[in-house]
Amino acid sequence: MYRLHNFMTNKVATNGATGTHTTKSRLWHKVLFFLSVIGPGIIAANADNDAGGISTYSVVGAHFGLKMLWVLLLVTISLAITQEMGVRIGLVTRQGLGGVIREHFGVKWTTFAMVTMLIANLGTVTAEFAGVASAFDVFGVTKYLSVPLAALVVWFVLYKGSFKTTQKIFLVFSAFYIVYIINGFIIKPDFGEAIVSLVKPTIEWTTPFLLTMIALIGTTITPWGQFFIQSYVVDKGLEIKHYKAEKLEVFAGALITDIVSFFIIISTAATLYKYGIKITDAKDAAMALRPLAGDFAQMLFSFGLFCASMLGAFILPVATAYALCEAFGWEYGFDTNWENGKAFYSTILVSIIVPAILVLIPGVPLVKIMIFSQDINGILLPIILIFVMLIVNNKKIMGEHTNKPIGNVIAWLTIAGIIGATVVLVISSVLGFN
Amino acid sequence: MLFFSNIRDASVRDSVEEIVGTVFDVLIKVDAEREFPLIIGVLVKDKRSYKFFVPVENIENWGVGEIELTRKLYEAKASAPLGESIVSLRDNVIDKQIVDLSGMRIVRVNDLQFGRVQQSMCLVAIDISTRGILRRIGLRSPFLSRIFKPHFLEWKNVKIMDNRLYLSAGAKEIVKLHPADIANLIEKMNVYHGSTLLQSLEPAVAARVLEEIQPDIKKLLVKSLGTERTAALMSKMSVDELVDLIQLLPGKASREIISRLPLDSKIQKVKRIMEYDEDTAGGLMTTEYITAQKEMTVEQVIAEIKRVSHLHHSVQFVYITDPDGKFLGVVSLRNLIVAIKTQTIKDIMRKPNKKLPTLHVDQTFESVTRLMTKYNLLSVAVLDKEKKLIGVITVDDIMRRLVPTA
Repeated sequence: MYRLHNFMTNKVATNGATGTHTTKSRLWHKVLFFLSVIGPGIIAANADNDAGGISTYSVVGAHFGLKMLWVLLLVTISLAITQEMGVRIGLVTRQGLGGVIREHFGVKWTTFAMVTMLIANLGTVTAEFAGVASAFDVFGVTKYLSVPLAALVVWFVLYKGSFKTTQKIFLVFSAFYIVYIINGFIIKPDFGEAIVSLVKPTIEWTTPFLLTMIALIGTTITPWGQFFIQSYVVDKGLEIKHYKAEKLEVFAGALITDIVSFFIIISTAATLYKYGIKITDAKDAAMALRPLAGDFAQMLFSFGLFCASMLGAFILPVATAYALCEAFGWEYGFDTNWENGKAFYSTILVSIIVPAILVLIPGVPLVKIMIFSQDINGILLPIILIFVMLIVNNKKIMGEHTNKPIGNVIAWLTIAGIIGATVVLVISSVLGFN
Repeated sequence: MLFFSNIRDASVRDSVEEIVGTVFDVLIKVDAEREFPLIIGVLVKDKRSYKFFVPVENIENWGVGEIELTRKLYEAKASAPLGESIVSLRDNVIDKQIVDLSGMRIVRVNDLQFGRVQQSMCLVAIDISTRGILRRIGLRSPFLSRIFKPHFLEWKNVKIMDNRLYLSAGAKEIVKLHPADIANLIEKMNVYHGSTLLQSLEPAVAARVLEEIQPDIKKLLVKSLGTERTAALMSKMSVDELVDLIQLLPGKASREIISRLPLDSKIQKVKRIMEYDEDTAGGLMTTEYITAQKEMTVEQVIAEIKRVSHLHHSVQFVYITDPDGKFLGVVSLRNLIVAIKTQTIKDIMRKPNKKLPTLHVDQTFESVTRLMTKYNLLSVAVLDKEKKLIGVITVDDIMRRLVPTA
């Protein structure tokens, strides 16, 4: 029980679950009930807009204009559906995804799933440190200083444990995305055109387009998000009676996060794509905020990028360690000592140190790292989603709570879509279409 | 050594040397009398994927990757035994989370070791080591075995985290642990398993366990237990722990729980303490202590302690008050034991002065700890404006506040 919930903001302000049958209006009761379970969906969704997220959405808009908005719409629906499945599995099995995979697929498949998750998560943490490096780069601070320092801060805060407060701070700061929404209105984009692009599929059969598209999917629906949402539900002790409120919350979370993504894309489309500026570093991406912030744009963008990166850098190593330990039955939690918690602490250390070192390799292109890591997430995502699908459709595990056909259709289409895009990507890069 | 991983999916050879199927599952019988559960047979999956139960008597030989039957499969099969004591290793044991009662932690079953005990095949040990994982993956090398040491648990020392509590002997062993240890185990489980375990304990034990659980998890557990069950547990708690718990809960939930508590003097005491700020002496103190009058004899006081002892968690001191409740002094158990039986209390008690400091109810937590540390006090009396004794702070109240997660 001493798990993620101790590390994630606990938004339970009101205890609606104890229920009262005597007082107040029923509506108020419902509101309280909803507030009591609010949290995981919105937090997971907010953390989705991390370094990889901001840079991917910026590049999507800057390099391809509004052409990919239709993908964003589909991905929003898929995100809502897959997160809802994670919630449901958590409510029914009362175990994290790693635990359920272990109990129903055995050690070999668990190892396969966990290695997949580990690679994807290492990629994401790498993006977070690249985000830190880019943010400081704007102010002329070298990455050889900022990245090791950020890594130390992450480890120190996790180990010494004022994580909850720190995370709350970053979560509040990451509300900086609202500036994109305001910005989006200030630049007065053609909303009509944007709406059309949301529903009208456009595709270019080129490597850059496909790579960016897979990154767009992989940064929105992530393997770690799937693990995260399920653990969160379990650790908060939510029960199946919370399902409806939780489902609503997950849907709201998916919508909110992608509204932000939508505005990032239209902002960069209107400012960078229009003038054919390609994003190669944070300074370029920051230009999208000029209409709102003027000369202040670079600072604002760097600050937002830094907060988003740090938030991800805090959550991911811990989430990775928890998932691994749960699946393999190793002891975990910051209350275990080094001897017993060897696996736990080493996983956290590895997932901080390895990504930090990767970012420190001289001359690596930071923006490309951020996008590429999201590609890895996207390419590996179907593996995790297939496990989720097999679990959520297994009557022995889920009882009466197996998937409805509509959920199955959307989820399998998502999986097929990503695999299809990956295959086309591989073929196109081998044959060298460009 | 023979492991479940060697037997699961092993080929099944019948008496005419023909491979007739594979092993799908192994069944054991749980019996409180036996140290090692007996293996009663295997489920064999034949080539058309039909499953048959073959009792252990019809298995001639258990080998790594292959078992041999004493006769043909269709003659060897029997109807599968049913009942609560029959446990499937595939469905209920392998890969499940277990409570390791010897190591006080939650781990997973990586593999199971079989062996002969008095001629019968038994489940002799549970493998929780990384070696077990590597064996299941099929990785074996001298290098890896040097790094990863074997680690086996005995059946009687584990409890499988399943809703079926009887599943292993460990369920009974858990109650023998110290409440603080049970609390630590519950902290490591998820809320559902934690509250299931808590409910399986006797109310008095459960109350002690709940007291020891760290605050944020306690909150979740109380929520999951519901007000009715929580109130039942809380009526067994001591006043200061009760106050701590009530202060932890959101207003509505705590009012509801208080309304369900039996109306006795305890609830009055709780309400009285709750009037004080959590971080003052008033909020820290307990109102459960033994008082005596200064005219009583040592013998009378000892008799009184014997009479009410069962109502208290611990008794270190007896507090002396006048008929109005004004604090006069304190007597330690040691003073009582070494004194002559007929002496009166006023001759042996320590009176409040520089050497025996007391606290005012409004003093802050910090000043309380400083005072207790300075004078090396195990407990200290808390007085109101009229110098009346209204409570006692003991060192464990301070420790709990300083280290809430232990």
